[in-house]
Amino acid sequence: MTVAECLKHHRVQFLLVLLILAAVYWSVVPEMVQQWYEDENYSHGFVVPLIAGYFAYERRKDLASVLAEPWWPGLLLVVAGLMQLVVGWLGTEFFTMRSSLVVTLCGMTLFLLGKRLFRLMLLPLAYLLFMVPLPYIIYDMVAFPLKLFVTRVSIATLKLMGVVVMREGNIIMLPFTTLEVADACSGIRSLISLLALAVAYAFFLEMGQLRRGLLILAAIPIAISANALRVIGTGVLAQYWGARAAEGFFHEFAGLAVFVVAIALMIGLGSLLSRGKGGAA
Amino acid sequence: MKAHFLAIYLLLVAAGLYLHLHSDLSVPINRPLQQFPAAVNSWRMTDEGQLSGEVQNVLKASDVLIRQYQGPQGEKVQLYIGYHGGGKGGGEIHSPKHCLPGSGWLEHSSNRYTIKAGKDDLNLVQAVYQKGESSEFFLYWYQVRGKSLSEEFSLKGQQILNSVLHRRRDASFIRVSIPFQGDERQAKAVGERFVKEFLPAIRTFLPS
Repeated sequence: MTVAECLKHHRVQFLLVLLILAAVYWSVVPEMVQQWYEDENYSHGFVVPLIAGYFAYERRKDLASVLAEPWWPGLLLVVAGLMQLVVGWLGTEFFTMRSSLVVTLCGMTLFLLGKRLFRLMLLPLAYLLFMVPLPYIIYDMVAFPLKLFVTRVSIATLKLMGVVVMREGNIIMLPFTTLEVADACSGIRSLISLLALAVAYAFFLEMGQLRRGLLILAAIPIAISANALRVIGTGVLAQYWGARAAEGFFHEFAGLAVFVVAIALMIGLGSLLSRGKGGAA
Repeated sequence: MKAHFLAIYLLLVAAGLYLHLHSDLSVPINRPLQQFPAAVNSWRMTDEGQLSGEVQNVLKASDVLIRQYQGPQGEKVQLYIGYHGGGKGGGEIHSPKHCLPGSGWLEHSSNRYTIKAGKDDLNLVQAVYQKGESSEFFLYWYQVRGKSLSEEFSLKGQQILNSVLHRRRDASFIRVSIPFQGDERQAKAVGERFVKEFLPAIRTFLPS
């Protein structure tokens, strides 16, 4: 029996599985969507399920025609996913709770429809992980050093450009004003969004695994340097036009502009990498 | 195939039921921290502070104590106790590892160790943070049901375990800080003496 036939034959049962799954995760998922809405770091969460859906849609023919062969060890993964949910719930650890959905879905795919289908669904399912906001313990572990790094690089550059600056932690002191390299400016916000986009982009392009990995990894330095550029720009602006220039419209605008620059760099690198040998087949 | 679906239904329903039936109790503190003694042995309270509304909104602690004490030789020590009762809507303890760097304090060193305090061992962290020219020596630990922990992940683990077994997630964070110039060893000695002398009082306030 192919997957398409199996879904048709057991449609009531599959529907019931989805309904119960929705009920179980009712206390977890809406809260996560709320965070996408409120936390600018994760506004890309809205697009992630769509991209994952597109990945699945793209391979719909293969998905439908593959043989459905229930694989019982998948049940263990379902158990593990649900345990993860319960433990995360008890510890109010949102990342554990939310990411358990992906584990449970993987387990159910394996258990009900088998390994062949799972292999095809791995990318769309794994991509869903990008919709889950990082746990704060890890977010902070990455954000603080990054913030300090961005501040240090920016200070060095500003000094080279002849701007009088001092640094205290992540606070940049100019003669008439102080700038704080806030969470948003550290680059972690655009880093995660850019990573999510880079993965999607790398899989849309036809290229070898090595180049794909390279393109995805490149998102990290691109995001960080784009953000250092933003801090430097703000510093220069504050020096010559005063603090108001650095805080108002420009700060908002620069955030967007920097992201656009980063995207442009990614696209440029992508088209470069998909050329020649090992690129488009 | 029938058995497959049945297994999935059972597992999902079991997990769902557990999530909906389990809730933690909010554990009250033994006595309000406001009644914390103003003098312990030869230490005298010299100042008392409060969390800013903004910080309290993030932290959502059930009870907080911020006090400055002065020792017989004029040593100045700041004591922070944050109690989190663990009920619905309560906040989590924030590790200084993550809070201090945000306000410009950089970690210079940090390590975990154990000191003898009375009959028991106390697990704690000693750390030095710097901000510009000033240095501050910290001793801190987390207390969960009378157990002292010096590590964030084991704090989480203990809370999960207590939630499963006792429906409790209450925990406290105790931090002693001493500003110093130059002599770190002396700051450490003052801090440890302070901790040992205050520990019995601290214990009577926090639920075990």
